[in-house]
Amino acid sequence: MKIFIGLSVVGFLFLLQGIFITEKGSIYFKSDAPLELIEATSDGLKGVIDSEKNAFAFTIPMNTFEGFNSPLQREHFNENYLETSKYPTATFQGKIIEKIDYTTDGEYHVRAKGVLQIHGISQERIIKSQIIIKNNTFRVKADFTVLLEEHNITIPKIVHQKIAEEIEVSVNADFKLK
Amino acid sequence: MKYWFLSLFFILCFITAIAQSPFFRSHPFDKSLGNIRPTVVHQDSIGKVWIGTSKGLFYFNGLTYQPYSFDSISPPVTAIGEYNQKVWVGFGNGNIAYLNSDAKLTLFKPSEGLPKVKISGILEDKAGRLWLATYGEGLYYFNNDRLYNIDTDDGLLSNDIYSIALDNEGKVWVGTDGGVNICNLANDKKQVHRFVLNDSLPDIIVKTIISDDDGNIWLGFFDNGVAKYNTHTKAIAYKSHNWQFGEVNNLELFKNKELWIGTNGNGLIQLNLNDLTFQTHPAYRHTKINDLVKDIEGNIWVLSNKYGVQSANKQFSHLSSTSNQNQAILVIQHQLWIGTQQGLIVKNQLENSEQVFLKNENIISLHQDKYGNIWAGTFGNGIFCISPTTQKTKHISTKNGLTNGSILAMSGNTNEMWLATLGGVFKCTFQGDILKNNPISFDVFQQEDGLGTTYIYDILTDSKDRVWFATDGKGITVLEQNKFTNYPLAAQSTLKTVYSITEDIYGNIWLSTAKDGIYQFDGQEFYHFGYDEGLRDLEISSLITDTKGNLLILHPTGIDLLDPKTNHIIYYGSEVGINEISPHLNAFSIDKQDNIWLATATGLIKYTPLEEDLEIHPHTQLTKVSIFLQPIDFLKNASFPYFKNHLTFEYIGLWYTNPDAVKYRYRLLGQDLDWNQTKDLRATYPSLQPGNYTFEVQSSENEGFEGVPTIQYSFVIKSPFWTRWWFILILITLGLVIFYLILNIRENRLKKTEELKKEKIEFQLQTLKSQVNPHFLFNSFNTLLTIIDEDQHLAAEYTEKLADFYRNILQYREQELVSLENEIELLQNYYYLLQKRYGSSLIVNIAIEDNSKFAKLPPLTLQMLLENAVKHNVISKSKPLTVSITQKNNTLAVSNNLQPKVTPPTSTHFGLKSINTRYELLLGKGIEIHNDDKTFTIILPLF
Repeated sequence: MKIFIGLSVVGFLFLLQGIFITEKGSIYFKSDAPLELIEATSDGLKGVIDSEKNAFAFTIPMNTFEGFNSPLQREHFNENYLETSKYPTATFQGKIIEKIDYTTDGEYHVRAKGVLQIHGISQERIIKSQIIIKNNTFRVKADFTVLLEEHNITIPKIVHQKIAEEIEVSVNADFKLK
Repeated sequence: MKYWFLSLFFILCFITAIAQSPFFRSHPFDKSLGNIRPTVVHQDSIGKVWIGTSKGLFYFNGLTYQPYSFDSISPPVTAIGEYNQKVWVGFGNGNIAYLNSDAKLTLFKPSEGLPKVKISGILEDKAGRLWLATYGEGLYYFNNDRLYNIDTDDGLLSNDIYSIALDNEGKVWVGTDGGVNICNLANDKKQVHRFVLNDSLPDIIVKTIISDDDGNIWLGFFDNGVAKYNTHTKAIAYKSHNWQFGEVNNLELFKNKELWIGTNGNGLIQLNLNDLTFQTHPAYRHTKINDLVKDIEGNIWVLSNKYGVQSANKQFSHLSSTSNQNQAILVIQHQLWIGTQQGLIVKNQLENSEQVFLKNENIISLHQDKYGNIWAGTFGNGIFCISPTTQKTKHISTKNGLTNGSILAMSGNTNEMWLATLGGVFKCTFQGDILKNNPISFDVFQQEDGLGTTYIYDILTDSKDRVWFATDGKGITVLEQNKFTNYPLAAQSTLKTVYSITEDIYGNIWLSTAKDGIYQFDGQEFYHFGYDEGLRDLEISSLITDTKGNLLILHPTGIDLLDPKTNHIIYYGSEVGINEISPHLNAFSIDKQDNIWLATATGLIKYTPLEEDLEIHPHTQLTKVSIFLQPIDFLKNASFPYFKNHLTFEYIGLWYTNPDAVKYRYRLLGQDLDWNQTKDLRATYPSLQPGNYTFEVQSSENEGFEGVPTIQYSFVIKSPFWTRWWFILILITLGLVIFYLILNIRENRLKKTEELKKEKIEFQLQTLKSQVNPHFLFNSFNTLLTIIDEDQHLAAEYTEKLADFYRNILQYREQELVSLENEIELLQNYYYLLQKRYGSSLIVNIAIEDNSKFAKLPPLTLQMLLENAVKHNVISKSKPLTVSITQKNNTLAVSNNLQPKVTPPTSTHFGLKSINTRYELLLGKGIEIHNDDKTFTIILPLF
């Protein structure tokens, strides 16, 4: 009996050290240019974290961003800058550098190193993130910047003052065991 | 521990100092290369600077970039190192290549294959092994022609390596995402040690590692800045706190002075290793630094996408100032006290603040006394003494006994100080801190006390406690054991007004004059330094000795740095940012960290004597040798045939501090008698004669070539084969042989002719003798006598024939050959004469062919043979003698029947012998004689 309990505890722990998927994921971005502030949000973020391998993968359909200052701006975003029909998703996948114990509640600061693909261009990035673990679920928070130049996103000279070269991005995602 | 304490102190007051930046110069790529991003920089062991870019490898000589690639499109260069005395290059696609002696890039092809990922580091360990770091496949090392891998299976913390470095024990330090690994080979076996966070590493993402000569490893992190690990104490000796500049990309160290930090977007940060303060470079704000490397001249190279390739001389940094009339400076830690016409400005570098004291006072000299008080000397208004901490001020003037208010210089750090004024020298004595109301007194010294003049520009208390005064017009005065002595002793010396005095580390006193350069004084003699000795400008405002022993010579054109040991001078000017500085007399200050601060009209210059052994001459190298403009591999070839005699030499003196200043001189030993000076980078010799030559080239950054290393290239132009000794020897031998042969033939011929002549003479003589044979004449006359009585006609005819015979003899005997016809005619005359005596007892038969006219033979041959026959044979009616002469083709046979006399006549055998000899000489073969006891036949060849 004791052995059985022991085995089931091990089994439970093993299950916990498994694959987590997003329950709810959102991305917010902000372009803070001298002449205009543009903000947009999407709840279409999907992610998976393999706590055993310390690996992760996120993806977001680019046309799910809402907000902007006008419908025309959104159209420009999709058609001219991000070319969402050609490059429908942005992805980020790689490994978490720090090893954390997903079975212990708490706040952890980790760095996620991986390949960030936006607009078809891949860049290796290390992104600082916060993982808050509570009751076998956890929330991932991360703030980072994306340089338009690094992803070949060209902005016409005429709107240079309206779009920042550096886009600030915030990610919020709740994970639960698959 | 000391550092720990200091760093703790700075946690509390983290402040970034205001920037003093060296002067950065850009080295742009050719526009035709388009958007090119420099990635890595490396100076190789022969002084060449290599720049890796997004478009391949370039060699930069200070003026131009030269591309090196094995493909038209090169992958980006991600690492440069050296192995086996060659430059090795790693690329973004995993390719590795090295530069061959013929300067061609050759792909490294280990049998194990090349990595497939970015190469992030190349180095050679102390055992001569090549180590390669990759970003994705871990570490590789090349040992005994095999490439071995070290990856996470061997204990590597991550296969993504950012940086590698070699420590002074020969171990390889590897910076990864998971911390640091220390790898080495022990008996050819891999050893991988781990160094992670719980070993007190500030961060596990280690982006860059460098090592120094003192056994320290410097680490740059993704977060938390930088740290120093001491390999002797095996502990972290320093780590940065409150780091605000993000990811560290690169590190470079100036020994005991500064650690330079390149960040991933926050520019260039400088860590002062003395006070552990950080300083930012405003020019690089928000810049991602790609690489950071110092060179052997004291330049720092900074690579960034934003500004491309830039370099700056680390020895000189600049601080712009709000005042444009800086007349005096005093540096106390982070406080810069600057004397101006409008007062005393105090800049606090840490607080980045500025304060003005003594407003509107004209401050021309500054000094700090034993108690830390600052003495500000004014022009005309005495001295203000200020406490730097409490700012309490005391005015010292005439009322205190200071009878002259213009203070040009101050010296001394005991309770005794010396003041140079326009009214002589004052010795100032105090019992304690004068700001605490301790008494102060002055003693004045003027010309009558032995001082050269009462105007004194500078004072120096030297290492032997002598006090030196710079006078206005009378050279220098020294106070030694309470006695003033003026130098130079000779009154007629050109050394008059002295502005500045300094002492070098060898104990010599150096002085600068108003317009006559500088003098070195060894206690006995003065040695002058002017234009000829290499000074650029003779209007020198200050002379300062740095801790390395160099003399800084300040003048409006810039700064000359003189090494008193070798008298070598390096010029620094606009290339390090020093432009028309118009420095004020002796407006300098030396801080606790040995930096020399110079106050100029345009701003402040900080000179840092770097502890590295800096190169003082350009690195000269021969870059190319061409024959008829075709480059050759000159390292391997040094011997050329006579027709390859058009040589072009290309060379460069690498002087990255100021490449435009480099001048060259070259000569070709064996051709040039003197050096040729030039700014060209090539020398051509169009038609060299065969011989041994040595091309020599030197380069200089200051126009002086004394003590400059010489680069040599010796070669031979071989003579054409026809002028080589062996050929000449053969030729002479051949000539001698031919000459000898000709001589021999000639001699033989002469000998032959001589013999012939002799023979002929002998023959003629004999003939004559025989013709005038008294018997013949006697017989002839007897015959004639008989005939005269019988037949007078016959007698006349006989006489006529006799005469004819003798005339013919006389006529022919001179000739070598006569025609057969003439010979027969003579013979017939003779026969006629004989016939009258012997009658029918003597018969002569002649059978000659028609061509007898053309056949020739020696004269009198036939006559002599007939005479012989008559002489040796019995002639009687019963026994007639028949002589036959028969021509057979080219021979003539003369035969007679043999009936010898019983008593043979006395004979010299001259006749036959003579004929035979003559034939041999003329024809090369003799006559044939046939004797068969019946007939005697002689066969004569005809000519």
